[in-house]
Amino acid sequence: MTAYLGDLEQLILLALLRLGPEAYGVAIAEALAERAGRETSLGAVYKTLTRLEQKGYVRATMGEPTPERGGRRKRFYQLTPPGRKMLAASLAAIRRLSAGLGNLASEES
Amino acid sequence: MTDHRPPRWLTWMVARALPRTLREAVLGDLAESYARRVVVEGRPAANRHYWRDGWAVARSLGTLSDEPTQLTPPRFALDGFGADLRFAFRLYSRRPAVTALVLVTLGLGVGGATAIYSVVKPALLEALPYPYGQRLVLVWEQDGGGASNMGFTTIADVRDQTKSLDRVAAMGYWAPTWLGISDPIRLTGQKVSPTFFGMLGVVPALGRDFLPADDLVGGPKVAIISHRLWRERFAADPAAVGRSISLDGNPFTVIGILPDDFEALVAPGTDIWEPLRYDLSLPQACRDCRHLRALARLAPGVSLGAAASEVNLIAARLAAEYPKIYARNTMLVEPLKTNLTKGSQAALLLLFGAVGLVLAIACANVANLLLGQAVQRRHEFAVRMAVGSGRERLVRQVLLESVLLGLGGAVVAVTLTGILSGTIRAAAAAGLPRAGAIGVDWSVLLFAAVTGLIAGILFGLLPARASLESATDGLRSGTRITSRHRARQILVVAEVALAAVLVVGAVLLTRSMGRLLAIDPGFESDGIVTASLQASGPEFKTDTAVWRYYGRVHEAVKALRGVTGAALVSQLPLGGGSDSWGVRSESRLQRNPDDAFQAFRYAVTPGYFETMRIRRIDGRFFTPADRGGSDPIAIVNQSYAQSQFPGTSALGERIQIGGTKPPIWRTIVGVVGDVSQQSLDQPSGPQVYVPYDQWIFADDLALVARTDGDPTGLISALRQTIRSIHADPTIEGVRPMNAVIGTGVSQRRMVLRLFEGFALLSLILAAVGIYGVMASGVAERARELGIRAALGASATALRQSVLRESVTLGATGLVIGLGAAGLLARALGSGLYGLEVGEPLVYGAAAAALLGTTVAAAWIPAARAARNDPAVTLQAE
Repeated sequence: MTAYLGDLEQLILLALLRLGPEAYGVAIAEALAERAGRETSLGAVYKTLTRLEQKGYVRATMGEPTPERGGRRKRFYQLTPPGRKMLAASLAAIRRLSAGLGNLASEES
Repeated sequence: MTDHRPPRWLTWMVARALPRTLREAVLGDLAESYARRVVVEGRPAANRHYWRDGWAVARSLGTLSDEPTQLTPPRFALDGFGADLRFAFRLYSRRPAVTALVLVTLGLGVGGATAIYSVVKPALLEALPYPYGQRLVLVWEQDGGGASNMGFTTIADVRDQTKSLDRVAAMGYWAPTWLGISDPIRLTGQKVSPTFFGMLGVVPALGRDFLPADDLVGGPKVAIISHRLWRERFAADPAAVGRSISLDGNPFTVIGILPDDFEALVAPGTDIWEPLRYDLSLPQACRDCRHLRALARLAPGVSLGAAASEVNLIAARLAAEYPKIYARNTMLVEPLKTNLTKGSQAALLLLFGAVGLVLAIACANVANLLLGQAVQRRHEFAVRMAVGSGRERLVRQVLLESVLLGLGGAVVAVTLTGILSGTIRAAAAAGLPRAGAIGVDWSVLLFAAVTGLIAGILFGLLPARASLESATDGLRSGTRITSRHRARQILVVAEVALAAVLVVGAVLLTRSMGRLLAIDPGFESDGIVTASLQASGPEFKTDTAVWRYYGRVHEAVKALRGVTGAALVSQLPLGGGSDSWGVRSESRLQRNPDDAFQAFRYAVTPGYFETMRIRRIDGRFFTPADRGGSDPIAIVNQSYAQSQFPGTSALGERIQIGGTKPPIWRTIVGVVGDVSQQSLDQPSGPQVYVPYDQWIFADDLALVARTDGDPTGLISALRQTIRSIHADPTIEGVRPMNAVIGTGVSQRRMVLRLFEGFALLSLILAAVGIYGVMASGVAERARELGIRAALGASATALRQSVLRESVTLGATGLVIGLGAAGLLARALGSGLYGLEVGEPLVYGAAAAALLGTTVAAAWIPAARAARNDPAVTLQAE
């Protein structure tokens, strides 16, 4: 059975790509809000990240503590090769499905 | 400075709900968003968001791995549950006064128990908060009498020879002054063996632990600091690791920061640790200078007894090898937890017992109130049964009401505990182990919920039975209700009895506290202000410089307006110090070369005895002519003189304090009265005094200044004067001597205050109970009272009949209670916290308080009875 990516999973993987080494909870939530216009709670972000981590699509590393975080460390996420492959496949599917449907994307804005 | 940290309790609650792996990251994210929001939108908005986001995160992550479960309740059992629930709430809202009274009563009882539980839990019930906490022990030398610290060499011998202890660390006192910052501060520190943290199982949160290389004499100096010091003085900056700070003028590198939850239990309040850096070549690495504590860890699988016998074999070997040093010594291996709790166990158990009594009274009161309700509700039950409601349904209804009341009481209790926990923590800080860990956590919540539920159900069911029984004849009015009234009377008697026990306890404790404070400490504390100074900094490298500094402080303070006398001393009586040295006398040594014993040593300036008003028994006090360089002299206390030179005068005898080479012989020139040193209730023991600049090194001194006026008025002038002499030395603990003494009795005072609070609470609850019974009794007896009034009974007679019943109940409870209190006091013995059997006066006072309460509580119902108008009452029939 082929696994597939959920909507939020896909958005978050894209956000990880965009943010690069700076991808952690707050930054991801902000990217989703700014870029995708999607206000997402931290809880939903972490829940999805945890699921992606369990599927092996992302991996997490702990950063250095900072004073503004009360001396707590950040948990940075990055795509794993399988995650990258999965995202590519998922985006390709969207492209294939939307091919020839005109400029639907521009209608939204 | 504005603080951008989110509310701690909320963080704490959210943290509990988060999965461990994500906890730090999520809390950090929340804190980060919070800090930004405070700046942009202000604190209230940030709090609101934090609250909402925190809970949202906790809710969605808390169930991360769980599949949603299908709740399929057994339909039949919950049939009509909603209706019952609605009915229960309607019932409560119809009788807000009674409901509130029940909730407050339960809340107070359960809340008191919960609050004390929250104190007892970290102090007595929990394991020490270190991974190897269960295996940690302290090792002491014992010379027949008390346990004492050990010299470095002794500890090293134990460490090298033992097999039953897998780690042995030495710890010593360290109080460095942090210089090079705007206002130098004195830090509370510890010198420890480099294995110390590893032995506890504690790893620094940032940076590294000590390594054996850090412990080398002459190597670079390093320190590990507490999380608190890091937050407060380094703004939680990770770059603090590796930074150099100046302690007592020496550069130290900060190499590690301990985790936030590390508790410095062995030396509470410690903020900084450095390696001990002793080796056997140093003079302070010796056998008979017993100034280090030994903390050790039992090897896996080794019992305490096995370790103790092995360590004592080592002690015996040492005694055989060095008979002069360890003449009669054995070693004591004591679990660290036992050591930490032994000072407060009795107090805590006493409080727990007291709060149990309060809870029992509260329960009796709730039963009482509900029983009163039951009488009024029998009509309702009768109607419901008559229209076909099953007996089980009614039982369930009552049970549900009880559960709701119990939970409501638990909510009130937790709220109370939450509000009080800060106060409790502050009060407990004085004398309880792990006071910092007191707070509301899940186990405290659970305790409150379970206690509340048990209390609610147990004492809700009793009245329920009564309701159901009476339901059968409920539709007939004016029937006899004697049995229920009897039940309520019994409850009231029980309440009064329990309250009597508490009141007697409170009176006994008050008296023993009074006796303790009445003990003469050997000096006059009224009018004395104290301050602890530490001369540190680049200019105080030599003893002469330190002595010159203290000489100038002495002169300046003496000259202050309002100061009638001033002096300096190396340790304040009752100030927590216990600086004692081995003392030998020349004449006794001739008879026995090994003769020596320990005495408290005080280095003092001239004027010390005069300022403190310590009694002169014989000889003279020190004068300004007794300087460093002049003939070495000493003054001893009465205990010393009497035990060492019985029947003869101590004056002119020569003594040696400590093992200096060549020995310094000091001539005794005076004998003074005994002064309490460790606590008011311990004998002062032998004491020796020397002129401060005749001692072998320059001590840091504490100032004592006497004024005729209010000592607190002198505090700021003292501080200014001392500061104007030199900017570097630290000035601490500027406070009246009576406050110093108060610290020593603060644990007792806390126990006493709480006990008084419980006793007062029990009186109030008992009064509520009596009032309830009397009031409903008068209402139920309206017909009887009306008939009596109609037959010509006077208002006074009616009033007295009610008061008589109340006093009878009160007196019955009192007799039982006082008897129980007497037995209890006898059983607990005089050892328990100064609780003694006590004289009749104590019991008389308690009896008066309770009977007064009884009469006061019955007064309004009695007045109501007296106003009974037969025309109205009998018409109702």
